[in-house]
Amino acid sequence: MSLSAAVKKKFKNFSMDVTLHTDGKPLGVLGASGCGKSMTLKCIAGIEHPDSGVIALNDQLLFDSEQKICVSPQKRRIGYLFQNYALFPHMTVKNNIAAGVRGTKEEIAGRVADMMKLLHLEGLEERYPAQLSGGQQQRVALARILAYDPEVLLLDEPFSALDTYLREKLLDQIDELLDIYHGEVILVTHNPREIYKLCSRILVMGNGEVLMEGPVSEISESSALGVLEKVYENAYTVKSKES
Amino acid sequence: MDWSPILISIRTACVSILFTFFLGLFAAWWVARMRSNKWKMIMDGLFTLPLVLPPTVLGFFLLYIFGVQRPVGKFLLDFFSVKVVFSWSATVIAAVTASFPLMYRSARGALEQVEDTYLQAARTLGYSEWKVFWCIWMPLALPGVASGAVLSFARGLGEFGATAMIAGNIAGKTRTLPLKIYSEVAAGNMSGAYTYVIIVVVISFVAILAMNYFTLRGQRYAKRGGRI
Repeated sequence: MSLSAAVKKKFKNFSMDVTLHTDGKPLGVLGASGCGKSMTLKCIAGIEHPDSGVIALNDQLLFDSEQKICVSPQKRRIGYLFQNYALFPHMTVKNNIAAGVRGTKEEIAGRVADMMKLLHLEGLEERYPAQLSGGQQQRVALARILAYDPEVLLLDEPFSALDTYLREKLLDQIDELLDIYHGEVILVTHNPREIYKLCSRILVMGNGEVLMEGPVSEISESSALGVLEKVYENAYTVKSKES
Repeated sequence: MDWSPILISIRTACVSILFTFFLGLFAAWWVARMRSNKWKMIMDGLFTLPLVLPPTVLGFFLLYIFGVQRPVGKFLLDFFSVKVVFSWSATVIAAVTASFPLMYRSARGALEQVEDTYLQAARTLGYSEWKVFWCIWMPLALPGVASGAVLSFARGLGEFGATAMIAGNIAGKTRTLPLKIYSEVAAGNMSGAYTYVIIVVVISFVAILAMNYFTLRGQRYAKRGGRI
C-alpha cells in the first residue's frame, strides 16, 4: 500500500512543486496558510489538476501529465475531509453519512448505523447539519468519509474550526480511528502538535516547496518550526526590499 | 365576455415555462461550469441579449428563422407540414425566447452562490456529475431557481411584441391577453379592455408574491438551526 505524488502547479504569483510519498503510515504536512498544502491535497483527490506531475495509488496511476491520464475524483476512492466539513446542509445526518455508500437499502442502513455507532452519533440521525455543534459536524463528516470506505484519507485542517477544548477531545478520537483505519492518511495542518500526536512522518512545506521530511522521531517540533520561520522571514525581507 | 384570450395566454405560459425552465437551467449550469472567463462573458452576453433587445427585434429574428421562406421554417413545412408562423406554437416560441434570459440569469446566480466545496465533496464521494447537479447543486440553489421560474412564467404570460410579429393577432388562435388588450384599445373600446387588464395585473402580482415567498422562505433547513 502506497501513495506517491509529484505535482507542479503555477499560479499568478506563486508556484508549487511538491513531492510526497506515504506507505501505510499517516503523513503530516506542516505549513503556514497559503503555502500550497491544501492545493496538494486537492490535486491528489482530483478536485484540482496540477500542470504537470504524477500521482499514483498502489499500482494505479491517478494522474500522469505525460501519458495524459487523469482519473476523475469519482473513481479515485479518496476521502477528503474539508476544513469546513462540507456537510450537505439539505440532508439529515443519516443521509449525509449514506451519501457515499453503494448497495441495497439494508446494506446502506447497516453501514450508516455502524458508522454512527463508531463515531458516537446515535440519536442524531434526523438532525440537519445546522443543528449540530462543531464537534458533532466533524464526526458526521468523518463518518460520511469512512462509510465510503476510501483507500486514502485526506484531512485538511480538520481541527481548525474547533475550540481548544474540543480539539483535544477529538484529537484522541481521531487517533483511535486512525489506528483501525487501513489506508493511506495525509493530515494537513499548521499546528505541529496534531502531527506529533497522529502521524509517524512529517513533511514541512513553505512557499509551495518541501523544506524537510522525515519520521517524527527524528525531526523535533522545534526544528520543524525553525525551518518554517526561516522561510517566512526570508519571504518577508524579500517583500520589504521590493517595496 | 370572450374567454379565449385568457385560455390561450394560460396555455401558452404553461407550455412555454416547461421549455424555458429546462433550457434556462441547462444554460445556467453550462455557463456556471465554464472555466474560461472569456467564453463565460460571451455566452452570458448571448443568453441575456433577449432581455435587453426590443421585442420587435426578437420577433424579427424569429421571423428570420421560422419564416416559410427560411431554411428552418421551410424544413418544418416541407418535412412535417408544420407552419410555425401565425400558429399557436409561435406564441410559445415567442414566450420562451423572451422569458429565457430571466430563467437563465436567476438560475445561474443561484447556482454560482452554492459553495464549491459541497460539489467537490459530492464528487469525492462518488457522485456522478448528473447526480451532483440534481441531488446537491439544484436543491441548494432551489430558492433562486424557483423564483426565476415564477418570473419567467409571468414574463411569458405578458409577452406582446415578439408574439405580435411571429404569431400575429388572430382571434381565438394567437390572440393572447396582451394582444387582446391592444386590440380592444386600438378599436377605441377602453371598457372592453378593463377586465383583461385586471386579470393580467392580478396574475402578475400573484406571481411576484410567489417569487418573494420562495426567496424569503429560503432554505428552511438552514434556518432551523440550533438544537431541538
